[in-house]
Amino acid sequence: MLKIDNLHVSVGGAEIIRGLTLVVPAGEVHAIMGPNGSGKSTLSFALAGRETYDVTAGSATLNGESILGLKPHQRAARGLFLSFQHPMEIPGVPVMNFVRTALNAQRKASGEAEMSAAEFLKAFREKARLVGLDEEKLKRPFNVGFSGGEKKRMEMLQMAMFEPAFAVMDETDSGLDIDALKMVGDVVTSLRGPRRGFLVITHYQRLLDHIRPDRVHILVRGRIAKSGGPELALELERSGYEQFTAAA
Amino acid sequence: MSRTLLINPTALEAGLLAAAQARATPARASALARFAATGLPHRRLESWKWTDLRAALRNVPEAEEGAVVGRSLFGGVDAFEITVMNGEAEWQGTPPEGVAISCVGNEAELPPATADHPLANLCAASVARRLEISVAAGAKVLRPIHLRHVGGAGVRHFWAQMRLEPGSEATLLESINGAGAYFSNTHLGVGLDESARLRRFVISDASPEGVDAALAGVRVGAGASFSQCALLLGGKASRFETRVSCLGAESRVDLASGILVDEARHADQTSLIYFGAPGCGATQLHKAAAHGRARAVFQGKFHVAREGQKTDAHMAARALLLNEGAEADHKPELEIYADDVKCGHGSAVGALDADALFYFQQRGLPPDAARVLLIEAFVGEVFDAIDDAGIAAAFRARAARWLERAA
Repeated sequence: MLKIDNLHVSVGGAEIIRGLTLVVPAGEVHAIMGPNGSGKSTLSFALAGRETYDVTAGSATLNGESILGLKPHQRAARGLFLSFQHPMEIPGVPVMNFVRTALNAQRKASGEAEMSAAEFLKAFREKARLVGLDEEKLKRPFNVGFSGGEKKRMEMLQMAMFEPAFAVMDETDSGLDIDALKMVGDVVTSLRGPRRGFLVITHYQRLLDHIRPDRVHILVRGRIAKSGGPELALELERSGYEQFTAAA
Repeated sequence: MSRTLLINPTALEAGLLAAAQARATPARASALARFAATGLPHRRLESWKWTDLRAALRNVPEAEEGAVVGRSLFGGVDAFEITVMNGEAEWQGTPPEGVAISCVGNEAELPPATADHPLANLCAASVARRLEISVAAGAKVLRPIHLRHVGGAGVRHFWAQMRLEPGSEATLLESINGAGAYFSNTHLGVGLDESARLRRFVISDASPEGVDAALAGVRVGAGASFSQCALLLGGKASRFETRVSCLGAESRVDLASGILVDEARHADQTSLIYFGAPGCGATQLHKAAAHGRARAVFQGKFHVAREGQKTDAHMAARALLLNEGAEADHKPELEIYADDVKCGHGSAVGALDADALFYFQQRGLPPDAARVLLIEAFVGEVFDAIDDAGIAAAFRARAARWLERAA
C-alpha cells in the first residue's frame, strides 16, 4: 500500500506539490489525471527520490515504511518502480547487461540470491515477447536507436522483469500507438495481484480503456481536486479540466 | 661539436646534453644541436602549454639498480614479446614469420615527421642503438608484437623504427609500466608502404612520479591503413603524441584514445594527422575521465594540405570531470587548404549525466555502482572498435581496475 499524506514538494524553490494526500491500497490500480503543470511528474520523481525534488512537508509510506528518507536505489530495493516519461538512452551499456545488473542489485539488497544467467535469459525473452521488442533491439546499447514507442516498451519490459511492489507509471502512454497502448494494458494486467499497486499518471482516458483503474484522481495545482471511479475519466474526456482548475 | 645554446638550462637539461655530447658521433651531432637549441619543451610553447616537461623534470630522477617488472598489461594475449628494460630491447625466440627484428647502430636520421620535435632530437642524440622491426611484403602477421616497456627510476631513451612493406599486415602492442621517479623518452617511427596495415594498441601506465613521453611518427602510404587505440593512465606528466602523415592516396587512419586519471596525475594525448594526398579518410575518438586533481589533455589536429582533396575526416573528444578539482583541456584543430573535403570536429567537457545517474539508481543500482557503470560505458566506446577479443579484454580490464579505485 502506498500512503501519501499532506505532501509538499518544491523544485528550485517553487512549490509544485501542495498538500497532496492519496492512498493506493495493495492490489489496486489508481490513475492520476491532470492538466499540464499540475505536478504529475513532480509527484513521480519525488516518490522515486530524485535529489532536486525537495520534500518540504508531509509523509509517504510504502507498505508501512516511510520512503522519504531513503535513497533512490533503496526505494527501488523496497519495490518502488518508476516508469519514466522520457526514458534515457545510455550508449555503451547493453540492454541485457543493464537489466540483469539492476535486477541483481535489487535482489542483493533484499537478501535474495542473484538470478543465474540462464534463468535471466529465459525470463527476459519471455517478457520481451510480452512487450513486443524484438531480440535484435535487445542486443543494442540501452535505448540507443530505439523509437519513442520502443523506449516505452523497454520501460514495460523492466517493470515486468522487476515485478515491483508498487509501480508509478509516468505518462507511459505518451507517444504510443493503439497497439502499444494495448501492450501496456496487457503488462499491467499480467502483473496485477493482491500485493501489488499501480499509480498510472496520464493525460488521456484512452490508456484507461486498457488498464481499467479502480480509482481516478484529478490533480490540479499540486493537490487532488477530485477522486472517483473510472467514470471520472470519461467525464473528463467530455468536459475537460476547466471545471476543476477554476475551482482549485 | 655542438654547444649548449640554452640559456639557463635546468640541471636535467645540462645532464642530458652532457650525456649526449659524451657519446656524440658525427651522425648524431645534428640532432644534438637541434635539442641543444630548444631544450625540454615547456609551457610557453603553444603545443606544450598544458604539459610542462621542463617543470615536471626540475628534479633529476636518480637511477636505481634493477627494473620493476610488473604483470603484463596484455597478459591474456599471445604475442611475441620484446622487453624494453630501461631503454634496452631484449627478446627471446624467433619472431613471427615475415618479421625481422634487429638492433642497429643509431645513425640518427629522424623521419621528416618528427625531425623538428625536441624529444625526438633528444632521443636521436642520446641512444647508441635503435630497434628495427620490418615486416616483409605481403606478410599477414597474425601474432602481435609486444613492445613491453618496463623500468625503474632514472632517465632513459628508446628509439624503434618499424617498416611494413607493401601489402603486409601486423599488430603492435605497447605497454608502458613505469615505477618510481623516472623520465622515459621513447620514439617510434613507422613507415607503412602501399596497402600495408598496422594496428597499434597502447596501454600507458606510468608511475605517479614518472614523466613519460612517447612520440610516434607514422608515414602512411597509398591505400595503407593505420589504426591505433591507446589507454593512458597518466603519471606525474605523461605525453602520448602521434604524428601521422598520409602521403599516399586513399590511405586510412583511425585513432582512438582513452584517458583515465586520478589523484594528481596528468595525461596528454596529442595528435596530428597530415593529409597530403587525395581521398584519405580518418576518424578520431577520444574519451577522458578525470578525478581528484588530475588533468586530462587532448590536442588533436587535422592538417589538410592542398593535395588532400576529398579528405573525409572526423574528430570527437569528450571528457568527464568526476569532481570539482579535476581538469580537462581540449584543443581540437582543423587546418584545411584543400577546397573539396569533409572535415569535422566536436569537443565537450562535462560532469556525469545526472538524469542517467538517477535512472540507474531508480533501477536499484547504488550510487557508486551507477557511476562506475556510466563511466565504464562512456570510456568503453573507445575500445568498441577493437576486433580482437583478447586485446579488447586487456583494455577493459585495466579500465575496470582504475574504476574500482577512482569512481
